[in-house]
Amino acid sequence: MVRHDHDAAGEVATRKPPSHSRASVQFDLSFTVEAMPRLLLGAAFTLGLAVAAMALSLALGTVIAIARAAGPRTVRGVVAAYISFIRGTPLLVQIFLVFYALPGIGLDFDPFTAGIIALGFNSAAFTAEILRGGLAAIPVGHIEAARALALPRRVLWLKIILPQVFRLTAPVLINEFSLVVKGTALVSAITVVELMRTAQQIYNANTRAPEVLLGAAAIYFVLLFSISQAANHLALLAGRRGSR
Amino acid sequence: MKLEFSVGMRFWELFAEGLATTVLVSASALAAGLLLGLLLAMGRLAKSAVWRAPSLSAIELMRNVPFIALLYIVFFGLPGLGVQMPTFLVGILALGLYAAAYYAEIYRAAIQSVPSGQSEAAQSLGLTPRQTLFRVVLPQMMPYFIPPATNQAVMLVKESAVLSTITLVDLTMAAQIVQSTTFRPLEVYIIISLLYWALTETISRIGALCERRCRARFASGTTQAAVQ
Repeated sequence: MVRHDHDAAGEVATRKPPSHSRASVQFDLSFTVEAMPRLLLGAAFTLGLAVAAMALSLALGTVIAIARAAGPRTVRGVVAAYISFIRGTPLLVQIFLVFYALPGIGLDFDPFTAGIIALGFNSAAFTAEILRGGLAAIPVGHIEAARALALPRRVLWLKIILPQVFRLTAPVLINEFSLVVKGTALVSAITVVELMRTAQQIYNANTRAPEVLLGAAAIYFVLLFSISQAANHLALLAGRRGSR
Repeated sequence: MKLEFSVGMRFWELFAEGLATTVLVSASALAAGLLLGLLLAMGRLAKSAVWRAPSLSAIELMRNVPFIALLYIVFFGLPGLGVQMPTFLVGILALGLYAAAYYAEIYRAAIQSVPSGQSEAAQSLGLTPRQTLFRVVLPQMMPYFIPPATNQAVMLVKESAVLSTITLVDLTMAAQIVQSTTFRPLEVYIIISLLYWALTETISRIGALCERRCRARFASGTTQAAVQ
C-alpha cells in the first residue's frame, strides 16, 4: 500500500513561506491568544499520545532489559543490535518506517496507532538502557538472599528486583517521558493531529505562522519544563533519602 | 512481497546528495553549536546576573521546546523580520541554535567538574581570566566534555532529519523523493536507516578515539609530574 499525505496542513507546511507579504504584516499577539483554545486541545492529544507511547515504552523496555540481563546469548545479541539501531537512526525516519514501509509487509496502522508504536518502540530502547543502569545498582546480596530462600525467578524479578529498579530510576524515567513528549511533535509529519499539527492547521487558515507557532512553543515549554522540574525534584528527594 | 534493493543503485546519486547535505548541515550546525554553546555557558557561569539571566533563559527555552517547533519559528519568523535566507542556511541556523543550548549545558557541567582550586591557582599566578579559561580550565575539562559532546553530535545528526520538513533535500528528503517515484518505501527507508546508522556509528567511534587520546595525554602528564 502506498500512502499519500495530501491534506492541507502537510502541503503548506513543506512550502516556502510567503516572504514578500509577510514583511509588511505586523506581528500581532492577539492571533496567539485567539489560537490558544485549539492549541490547548492539541496539547491534550499530545499528552495522550505521550502517555500511551510511554506505557508501551515501559512495558517493552522492561522486557528488553530483562532479556539483556538474563536471556540466552543470541537474545542478548538481538537486543543489543535493536538498541544500537534505534539509537543510531533518526526518530523521524523510524516514524516513516512504521507508517509508510510496514504496510508493505502487512502491518497497516492508522496514523495515531503508527505514531504510538514508533514512539513507544523508539523510547523502549532508551528505557531499557535506563533500567539496565538501575539493575546494576541492585546489591548482589538481595539476589543471593532470594536464591538462598529458593524463591522462583518470577518472584525474584517481580517482587525484589523490578520494584527497586523502578524506584531508583524514576527521575531518569520521567526525563525520558519528557523526551517522548518532545518526540510526539514529529508524528505531525504523518498527519496525527496533535499540538504541532493543530498549529499548522490554524496558521494555514489565518497565515499567521509566527504568532501561532509561538503559542504552540509556549505550551510545549510549560509542559516540558514542568516535567523536567518534577524529575529534578524527585532526584533531589531520592538523594536526600539515600544519604540519610 | 519481494525486496528490491536495486532502487538504491538506480537512485544512488540522489542518496549520495542527500547524505552529503546531511553531513554538511550537521557539521556546520555542530561548529556553530560548539562556539555559541561556549558563549552561552560563559554567560550562564558569569558572576553578573546581567549575563546569567538571559543565557539561562535562552538555554532553558530552547531545551524545553521540540526542535521542529523551533525550526518552524525560525523558518516562518525570519521573513517577518525582513531576513531572506536560503533554506539551507535556515536549517543550519535553527539546528545550530538548538545544539548551542545543549552544548552550553555540557560545557557548564564539564567546567564545573574541574576543581575550582585550578582556576584559583591560575589567578594567584597572575594569569588573565582569558588565559585561565583557555590554558587551564578548558584543556582540563576535556575528559568530562568529550563523551557527552559526542552523544550530542549523534543527536544532532538525527535531529537534522527534521530539516526535510522545510524542503531541504537531506537524506530523509531523498528517501521521500525516491519513495514517491518508486513506491518502494520499505527498501528506501531500510537503505537510509543503514546510512544514518553508519554515520552515527562513525561519530561515536571518533568520539571514543578522542576520549582515549585525551585520557592518554592526561595520564602521561600526571606521570611526568610524579617523576619530576
